[in-house]
Amino acid sequence: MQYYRPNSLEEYFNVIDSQTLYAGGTDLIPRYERGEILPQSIIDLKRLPELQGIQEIQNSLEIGAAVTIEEIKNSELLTSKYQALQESSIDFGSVQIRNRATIGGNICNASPAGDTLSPLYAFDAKLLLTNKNGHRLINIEDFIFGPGKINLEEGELLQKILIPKTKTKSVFYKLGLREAMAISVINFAIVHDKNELTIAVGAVAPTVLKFSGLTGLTIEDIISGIDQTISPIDDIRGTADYRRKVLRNMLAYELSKIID
Amino acid sequence: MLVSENQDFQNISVIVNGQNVDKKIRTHLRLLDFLRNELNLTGAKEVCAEGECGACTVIMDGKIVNSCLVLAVEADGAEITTIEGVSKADQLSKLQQAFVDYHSVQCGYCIPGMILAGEQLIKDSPEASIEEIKYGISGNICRCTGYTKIIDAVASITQKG
Repeated sequence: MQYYRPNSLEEYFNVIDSQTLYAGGTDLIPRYERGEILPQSIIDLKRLPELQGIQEIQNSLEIGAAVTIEEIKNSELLTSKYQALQESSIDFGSVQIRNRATIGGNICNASPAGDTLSPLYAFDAKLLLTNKNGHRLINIEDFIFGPGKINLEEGELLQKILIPKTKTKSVFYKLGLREAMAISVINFAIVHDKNELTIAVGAVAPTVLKFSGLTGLTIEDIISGIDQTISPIDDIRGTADYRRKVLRNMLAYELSKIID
Repeated sequence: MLVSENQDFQNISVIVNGQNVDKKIRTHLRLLDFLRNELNLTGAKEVCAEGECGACTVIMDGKIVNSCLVLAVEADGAEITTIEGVSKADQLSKLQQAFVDYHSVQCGYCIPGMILAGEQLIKDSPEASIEEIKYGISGNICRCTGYTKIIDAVASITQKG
Protein backbone atom coordinates (compact mmCIF):
# COMPACT_ATOMS: atom_id res chain seq x y z
CA MET A 1 0.00 0.00 0.00
CA GLN A 2 1.29 3.41 -0.98
CA TYR A 3 0.86 6.10 1.65
CA TYR A 4 0.82 9.78 0.74
CA ARG A 5 0.47 12.69 3.10
CA PRO A 6 0.35 15.89 1.04
CA ASN A 7 1.01 19.18 2.80
CA SER A 8 -1.05 21.39 0.50
CA LEU A 9 -3.94 21.07 -1.94
CA GLU A 10 -1.53 21.71 -4.78
CA GLU A 11 0.56 18.73 -3.70
CA TYR A 12 -2.63 16.73 -3.25
CA PHE A 13 -3.74 17.28 -6.84
CA ASN A 14 -0.43 15.87 -8.02
CA VAL A 15 -0.90 12.49 -6.31
CA ILE A 16 -4.55 11.65 -6.91
CA ASP A 17 -4.28 9.05 -9.62
CA SER A 18 -5.84 6.15 -7.74
CA GLN A 19 -7.17 7.42 -4.53
CA THR A 20 -8.66 6.29 -1.30
CA LEU A 21 -9.13 9.39 0.79
CA TYR A 22 -8.18 8.90 4.40
CA ALA A 23 -8.70 11.22 7.34
CA GLY A 24 -9.06 10.03 10.94
CA GLY A 25 -9.00 6.34 10.04
CA THR A 26 -11.49 5.44 12.80
CA ASP A 27 -13.97 4.01 10.29
CA LEU A 28 -11.55 2.81 7.62
CA ILE A 29 -9.05 0.86 9.74
CA PRO A 30 -11.71 -1.34 11.42
CA ARG A 31 -13.10 -2.05 7.96
CA TYR A 32 -9.68 -3.17 6.73
CA GLU A 33 -9.22 -5.09 9.96
CA ARG A 34 -12.42 -7.04 9.30
CA GLY A 35 -10.89 -8.53 6.18
CA GLU A 36 -11.45 -5.92 3.55
CA ILE A 37 -8.26 -5.67 1.52
CA LEU A 38 -6.28 -2.49 1.82
CA PRO A 39 -6.37 -0.19 -1.18
CA GLN A 40 -3.34 0.18 -3.45
CA SER A 41 -2.79 3.63 -2.09
CA ILE A 42 -4.27 5.99 0.45
CA ILE A 43 -4.02 9.72 0.69
CA ASP A 44 -3.97 11.11 4.19
CA LEU A 45 -5.80 14.45 4.19
CA LYS A 46 -5.15 15.36 7.80
CA ARG A 47 -2.25 17.71 7.15
CA LEU A 48 -3.86 19.77 4.39
CA PRO A 49 -3.93 23.32 5.73
CA GLU A 50 -6.90 24.12 3.44
CA LEU A 51 -9.01 21.62 5.42
CA GLN A 52 -8.28 23.03 8.88
CA GLY A 53 -9.88 25.48 11.27
CA ILE A 54 -13.24 26.69 12.51
CA GLN A 55 -14.10 30.30 11.78
CA GLU A 56 -17.02 32.64 11.63
CA ILE A 57 -17.19 34.51 8.35
CA GLN A 58 -19.89 37.16 8.12
CA ASN A 59 -23.03 35.29 9.05
CA SER A 60 -21.86 31.77 8.53
CA LEU A 61 -19.61 29.26 10.17
CA GLU A 62 -16.85 27.54 8.21
CA ILE A 63 -15.45 24.24 9.41
CA GLY A 64 -12.52 22.56 7.68
CA ALA A 65 -13.23 18.95 6.72
CA ALA A 66 -10.17 17.71 8.64
CA VAL A 67 -11.28 19.35 11.89
CA THR A 68 -11.52 16.67 14.57
CA ILE A 69 -14.63 15.97 16.59
CA GLU A 70 -12.63 16.95 19.70
CA GLU A 71 -11.98 20.38 18.16
CA ILE A 72 -15.71 20.77 17.47
CA LYS A 73 -16.42 19.78 21.06
CA ASN A 74 -14.00 22.38 22.41
CA SER A 75 -14.68 25.30 20.06
CA GLU A 76 -16.18 28.33 21.78
CA LEU A 77 -17.49 29.53 18.41
CA LEU A 78 -20.08 26.76 18.47
CA THR A 79 -21.15 27.05 22.07
CA SER A 80 -23.99 29.53 21.83
CA LYS A 81 -25.03 29.55 18.19
CA TYR A 82 -24.47 26.00 16.99
CA GLN A 83 -25.24 24.10 20.13
CA ALA A 84 -26.79 21.02 18.51
CA LEU A 85 -23.63 20.38 16.52
CA GLN A 86 -21.46 20.78 19.59
CA GLU A 87 -23.75 18.51 21.61
CA SER A 88 -23.42 15.82 18.95
CA SER A 89 -19.64 15.95 19.37
CA ILE A 90 -19.83 15.54 23.16
CA ASP A 91 -21.59 12.17 22.89
CA PHE A 92 -19.38 11.05 20.00
CA GLY A 93 -17.23 7.93 20.54
CA SER A 94 -14.61 8.39 23.22
CA VAL A 95 -11.73 10.81 23.80
CA GLN A 96 -9.47 8.54 21.74
CA ILE A 97 -11.93 8.46 18.84
CA ARG A 98 -12.74 12.19 19.00
CA ASN A 99 -9.02 13.00 18.84
CA ARG A 100 -8.75 11.26 15.46
CA ALA A 101 -12.20 11.25 13.84
CA THR A 102 -12.94 14.23 11.60
CA ILE A 103 -16.19 15.95 10.70
CA GLY A 104 -15.42 15.48 7.00
CA GLY A 105 -14.93 11.77 7.59
CA ASN A 106 -18.20 11.52 9.47
CA ILE A 107 -19.97 13.13 6.49
CA CYS A 108 -18.22 11.09 3.79
CA ASN A 109 -18.71 7.83 5.65
CA ALA A 110 -22.42 8.62 5.18
CA SER A 111 -23.75 6.38 7.90
CA PRO A 112 -27.47 6.97 8.55
CA ALA A 113 -26.52 7.09 12.22
CA GLY A 114 -23.54 9.48 11.85
CA ASP A 115 -23.79 11.73 14.88
CA THR A 116 -22.83 15.07 13.34
CA LEU A 117 -25.17 14.59 10.37
CA SER A 118 -28.56 15.38 11.85
CA PRO A 119 -27.31 18.72 13.27
CA LEU A 120 -25.65 19.57 9.94
CA TYR A 121 -28.89 18.83 8.05
CA ALA A 122 -30.93 20.86 10.55
CA PHE A 123 -28.54 23.81 10.22
CA ASP A 124 -28.86 23.67 6.38
CA ALA A 125 -25.14 22.95 6.04
CA LYS A 126 -23.54 23.28 2.63
CA LEU A 127 -20.43 21.45 1.53
CA LEU A 128 -17.57 22.94 -0.42
CA LEU A 129 -16.20 20.31 -2.80
CA THR A 130 -12.93 21.06 -4.49
CA ASN A 131 -11.12 19.63 -7.49
CA LYS A 132 -8.19 20.72 -9.59
CA ASN A 133 -10.25 23.25 -11.50
CA GLY A 134 -12.30 24.82 -8.76
CA HIS A 135 -15.14 24.36 -6.33
CA ARG A 136 -18.78 23.47 -6.14
CA LEU A 137 -21.09 24.15 -3.23
CA ILE A 138 -23.93 21.75 -2.50
CA ASN A 139 -26.44 21.10 0.26
CA ILE A 140 -25.55 18.20 2.52
CA GLU A 141 -28.80 16.43 1.61
CA ASP A 142 -27.73 16.47 -2.04
CA PHE A 143 -24.35 14.99 -1.13
CA ILE A 144 -25.46 11.87 0.74
CA PHE A 145 -27.53 9.35 -1.30
CA GLY A 146 -27.60 6.41 1.06
CA PRO A 147 -25.43 4.44 3.47
CA GLY A 148 -21.85 4.99 2.31
CA LYS A 149 -23.01 6.59 -0.96
CA ILE A 150 -21.90 10.13 -1.64
CA ASN A 151 -21.88 12.58 -4.50
CA LEU A 152 -18.12 12.93 -4.71
CA GLU A 153 -16.59 12.84 -8.14
CA GLU A 154 -13.22 11.44 -9.10
CA GLY A 155 -10.54 13.94 -8.19
CA GLU A 156 -12.77 15.84 -5.79
CA LEU A 157 -12.50 16.20 -2.05
CA LEU A 158 -14.65 17.67 0.68
CA GLN A 159 -12.83 20.81 1.75
CA LYS A 160 -15.17 22.73 4.02
CA ILE A 161 -18.53 22.66 5.69
CA LEU A 162 -20.46 25.94 5.69
CA ILE A 163 -23.30 26.60 8.06
CA PRO A 164 -25.33 29.63 7.01
CA LYS A 165 -27.48 30.13 10.08
CA THR A 166 -26.78 32.11 13.21
CA LYS A 167 -28.51 33.05 16.42
CA THR A 168 -30.71 30.02 16.57
CA LYS A 169 -31.72 27.88 19.43
CA SER A 170 -30.87 24.27 18.80
CA VAL A 171 -30.72 20.94 20.52
CA PHE A 172 -29.34 17.48 19.76
CA TYR A 173 -30.69 14.26 21.17
CA LYS A 174 -29.07 10.85 20.86
CA LEU A 175 -30.23 7.52 22.17
CA GLY A 176 -27.42 4.99 22.41
CA LEU A 177 -27.32 1.68 24.22
CA ARG A 178 -24.71 3.07 26.56
CA GLU A 179 -23.19 6.47 27.17
CA ALA A 180 -19.75 6.11 25.60
CA MET A 181 -18.82 4.59 22.24
CA ALA A 182 -22.46 4.12 21.29
CA ILE A 183 -23.84 4.09 17.78
CA SER A 184 -27.13 5.97 17.67
CA VAL A 185 -30.32 3.92 17.95
CA ILE A 186 -31.90 7.19 16.89
CA ASN A 187 -30.70 10.76 16.97
CA PHE A 188 -32.18 14.08 15.99
CA ALA A 189 -31.45 17.78 15.96
CA ILE A 190 -33.90 20.65 16.24
CA VAL A 191 -33.02 24.16 15.10
CA HIS A 192 -35.46 26.88 16.07
CA ASP A 193 -35.67 30.62 15.75
CA LYS A 194 -38.44 33.17 15.35
CA ASN A 195 -39.31 32.27 11.78
CA GLU A 196 -38.10 28.77 11.31
CA LEU A 197 -38.31 25.35 12.82
CA THR A 198 -36.25 22.55 11.30
CA ILE A 199 -35.87 18.99 12.51
CA ALA A 200 -33.46 16.39 11.16
CA VAL A 201 -33.67 12.77 12.24
CA GLY A 202 -30.94 10.12 12.01
CA ALA A 203 -30.94 6.29 12.03
CA VAL A 204 -34.58 5.92 10.93
CA ALA A 205 -34.06 5.83 7.13
CA PRO A 206 -31.20 5.19 4.67
CA THR A 207 -30.16 8.82 5.06
CA VAL A 208 -30.85 11.52 7.62
CA LEU A 209 -34.29 13.04 6.95
CA LYS A 210 -34.89 16.75 7.17
CA PHE A 211 -38.20 18.41 7.93
CA SER A 212 -38.45 22.16 7.52
CA GLY A 213 -41.16 24.81 7.33
CA LEU A 214 -42.78 23.46 10.47
CA THR A 215 -43.60 26.82 12.02
CA GLY A 216 -47.25 27.11 13.03
CA LEU A 217 -47.87 23.36 13.24
CA THR A 218 -48.74 21.75 16.54
CA ILE A 219 -46.21 19.42 18.11
CA GLU A 220 -48.60 16.52 17.51
CA ASP A 221 -48.91 17.34 13.81
CA ILE A 222 -45.14 17.63 13.45
CA ILE A 223 -44.56 14.30 15.14
CA SER A 224 -47.21 12.43 13.17
CA GLY A 225 -45.86 13.91 9.92
CA ILE A 226 -42.38 12.67 10.80
CA ASP A 227 -43.71 9.30 11.90
CA GLN A 228 -45.36 8.79 8.49
CA THR A 229 -42.16 9.61 6.61
CA ILE A 230 -39.55 7.55 8.46
CA SER A 231 -38.74 3.93 7.57
CA PRO A 232 -36.83 2.50 10.51
CA ILE A 233 -35.55 -1.06 10.49
CA ASP A 234 -34.98 -3.79 13.07
CA ASP A 235 -31.33 -4.32 13.87
CA ILE A 236 -29.09 -5.30 16.77
CA ARG A 237 -29.52 -1.87 18.36
CA GLY A 238 -33.31 -1.87 18.41
CA THR A 239 -36.52 -2.73 16.61
CA ALA A 240 -38.30 -0.47 14.16
CA ASP A 241 -41.21 -0.12 16.60
CA TYR A 242 -38.91 0.88 19.42
CA ARG A 243 -37.27 3.49 17.21
CA ARG A 244 -40.67 4.96 16.29
CA LYS A 245 -41.83 5.07 19.87
CA VAL A 246 -38.70 6.58 21.35
CA LEU A 247 -38.51 9.11 18.51
CA ARG A 248 -42.11 10.25 19.09
CA ASN A 249 -41.61 10.56 22.83
CA MET A 250 -38.27 12.30 22.68
CA LEU A 251 -39.38 14.70 19.95
CA ALA A 252 -42.41 15.64 22.04
CA TYR A 253 -40.17 16.25 25.03
CA GLU A 254 -37.49 18.26 23.24
CA LEU A 255 -39.96 20.25 21.09
CA SER A 256 -41.97 21.30 24.14
CA LYS A 257 -38.75 22.60 25.70
CA ILE A 258 -37.45 24.46 22.66
CA ILE A 259 -40.74 26.06 21.53
CA ASP A 260 -41.88 28.42 24.25
CA MET B 1 -2.79 -6.93 11.74
CA LEU B 2 -3.82 -5.38 8.48
CA VAL B 3 -3.23 -7.33 5.31
CA SER B 4 -1.94 -5.69 2.16
CA GLU B 5 -1.29 -7.21 -1.24
CA ASN B 6 1.65 -4.92 -1.86
CA GLN B 7 4.55 -4.64 0.51
CA ASP B 8 5.44 -0.99 0.40
CA PHE B 9 7.93 0.51 2.78
CA GLN B 10 8.47 3.98 4.14
CA ASN B 11 10.93 5.54 6.56
CA ILE B 12 9.49 7.04 9.68
CA SER B 13 11.05 9.06 12.41
CA VAL B 14 9.26 9.17 15.75
CA ILE B 15 10.10 9.98 19.33
CA VAL B 16 8.99 7.13 21.55
CA ASN B 17 9.22 7.65 25.30
CA GLY B 18 11.79 10.39 24.72
CA GLN B 19 14.00 8.40 22.35
CA ASN B 20 14.43 9.05 18.65
CA VAL B 21 13.49 6.08 16.54
CA ASP B 22 14.16 5.96 12.79
CA LYS B 23 12.87 2.90 11.03
CA LYS B 24 11.89 1.62 7.64
CA ILE B 25 8.50 0.03 8.04
CA ARG B 26 5.71 -1.51 5.98
CA THR B 27 3.15 1.20 5.28
CA HIS B 28 0.18 -0.87 6.40
CA LEU B 29 1.60 -1.50 9.86
CA ARG B 30 -0.61 -0.09 12.61
CA LEU B 31 1.04 1.99 15.31
CA LEU B 32 0.13 -0.80 17.75
CA ASP B 33 2.01 -3.41 15.67
CA PHE B 34 4.96 -1.06 15.31
CA LEU B 35 5.24 -0.50 19.06
CA ARG B 36 4.74 -4.14 20.02
CA ASN B 37 6.54 -5.98 17.25
CA GLU B 38 9.24 -3.61 16.06
CA LEU B 39 10.08 -1.88 19.33
CA ASN B 40 9.11 -4.66 21.76
CA LEU B 41 6.96 -2.25 23.77
CA THR B 42 4.21 -4.65 24.70
CA GLY B 43 2.41 -2.48 27.26
CA ALA B 44 -0.22 -1.43 24.71
CA LYS B 45 -2.54 -4.40 24.30
CA GLU B 46 -4.59 -5.53 21.34
CA VAL B 47 -8.08 -6.51 22.43
CA CYS B 48 -10.93 -5.36 20.19
CA ALA B 49 -8.90 -3.98 17.27
CA GLU B 50 -11.65 -1.50 16.43
CA GLY B 51 -11.32 1.34 18.91
CA GLU B 52 -13.97 0.19 21.37
CA CYS B 53 -11.89 -0.91 24.34
CA GLY B 54 -8.93 1.46 24.81
CA ALA B 55 -6.46 -1.26 25.82
CA CYS B 56 -4.07 -0.08 23.09
CA THR B 57 -4.20 3.57 24.19
CA VAL B 58 -1.00 5.59 23.81
CA ILE B 59 -0.35 9.33 23.97
CA MET B 60 0.47 10.85 20.58
CA ASP B 61 1.48 14.53 20.53
CA GLY B 62 -0.34 15.19 23.79
CA LYS B 63 -3.53 13.37 22.83
CA ILE B 64 -4.67 9.88 23.68
CA VAL B 65 -5.33 7.67 20.68
CA ASN B 66 -6.17 4.05 20.03
CA SER B 67 -2.93 2.75 18.53
CA CYS B 68 -4.95 0.08 16.69
CA LEU B 69 -6.62 2.85 14.67
CA VAL B 70 -3.49 4.74 13.66
CA LEU B 71 -1.13 3.68 10.90
CA ALA B 72 2.49 3.79 12.00
CA VAL B 73 3.28 5.98 8.96
CA GLU B 74 0.79 8.53 10.29
CA ALA B 75 2.95 8.84 13.38
CA ASP B 76 5.93 10.03 11.34
CA GLY B 77 7.22 13.13 13.13
CA ALA B 78 5.10 12.51 16.21
CA GLU B 79 5.99 12.10 19.85
CA ILE B 80 4.59 8.94 21.45
CA THR B 81 4.33 7.97 25.08
CA THR B 82 3.53 4.37 26.00
CA ILE B 83 3.06 2.90 29.46
CA GLU B 84 6.78 2.02 29.42
CA GLY B 85 7.57 5.75 29.37
CA VAL B 86 5.38 6.80 32.30
CA SER B 87 7.64 5.84 35.18
CA LYS B 88 11.04 7.45 35.45
CA ALA B 89 13.83 4.94 36.22
CA ASP B 90 12.40 2.95 39.13
CA GLN B 91 10.11 5.74 40.23
CA LEU B 92 6.40 5.20 39.57
CA SER B 93 4.42 8.23 38.46
CA LYS B 94 1.99 9.70 41.00
CA LEU B 95 -0.91 8.09 39.19
CA GLN B 96 0.78 4.69 39.01
CA GLN B 97 1.44 4.88 42.76
CA ALA B 98 -2.21 5.85 43.31
CA PHE B 99 -3.31 2.76 41.35
CA VAL B 100 -1.19 0.68 43.76
CA ASP B 101 -2.45 2.50 46.85
CA TYR B 102 -6.12 2.25 45.82
CA HIS B 103 -5.88 -1.39 44.69
CA SER B 104 -7.13 -0.34 41.27
CA VAL B 105 -5.74 -3.32 39.40
CA GLN B 106 -7.54 -6.63 39.01
CA CYS B 107 -6.53 -8.67 35.95
CA GLY B 108 -4.46 -5.73 34.75
CA TYR B 109 -5.11 -5.94 31.04
CA CYS B 110 -6.78 -2.54 30.75
CA ILE B 111 -4.38 -0.80 33.12
CA PRO B 112 -1.77 0.53 30.67
CA GLY B 113 -4.55 2.22 28.72
CA MET B 114 -6.28 3.41 31.86
CA ILE B 115 -3.07 4.93 33.23
CA LEU B 116 -2.32 6.75 29.97
CA ALA B 117 -5.89 8.07 29.67
CA GLY B 118 -5.61 9.13 33.33
CA GLU B 119 -2.18 10.77 32.92
CA GLN B 120 -3.36 12.86 29.97
CA LEU B 121 -6.61 13.76 31.75
CA ILE B 122 -4.65 14.98 34.78
CA LYS B 123 -2.45 17.05 32.50
CA ASP B 124 -5.40 18.57 30.61
CA SER B 125 -7.70 19.04 33.63
CA PRO B 126 -5.64 18.94 36.81
CA GLU B 127 -8.76 19.40 38.95
CA ALA B 128 -11.05 17.02 37.09
CA SER B 129 -14.26 16.14 38.92
CA ILE B 130 -15.51 12.57 39.29
CA GLU B 131 -17.86 13.17 36.34
CA GLU B 132 -15.01 14.51 34.22
CA ILE B 133 -12.88 11.49 35.15
CA LYS B 134 -15.67 9.11 34.13
CA TYR B 135 -16.07 10.96 30.83
CA GLY B 136 -12.30 11.04 30.30
CA ILE B 137 -11.84 7.28 30.73
CA SER B 138 -15.06 6.32 28.94
CA GLY B 139 -13.03 5.01 25.99
CA ASN B 140 -11.34 2.45 28.23
CA ILE B 141 -13.15 -0.72 29.18
CA CYS B 142 -12.26 -2.65 32.34
CA ARG B 143 -13.73 -6.09 31.80
CA CYS B 144 -13.28 -6.89 35.52
CA THR B 145 -15.59 -3.85 35.99
CA GLY B 146 -13.29 -2.40 38.63
CA TYR B 147 -14.04 1.19 37.70
CA THR B 148 -14.63 2.54 41.20
CA LYS B 149 -11.07 1.98 42.38
CA ILE B 150 -9.68 3.31 39.11
CA ILE B 151 -11.75 6.48 39.40
CA ASP B 152 -10.73 6.79 43.09
CA ALA B 153 -7.07 6.62 42.11
CA VAL B 154 -7.39 9.38 39.49
CA ALA B 155 -9.55 11.46 41.83
CA SER B 156 -6.94 11.14 44.59
CA ILE B 157 -4.77 13.34 42.39
CA THR B 158 -7.31 15.72 40.86
CA GLN B 159 -9.56 16.08 43.90
CA LYS B 160 -6.99 16.19 46.69
CA GLY B 161 -8.60 19.51 47.71
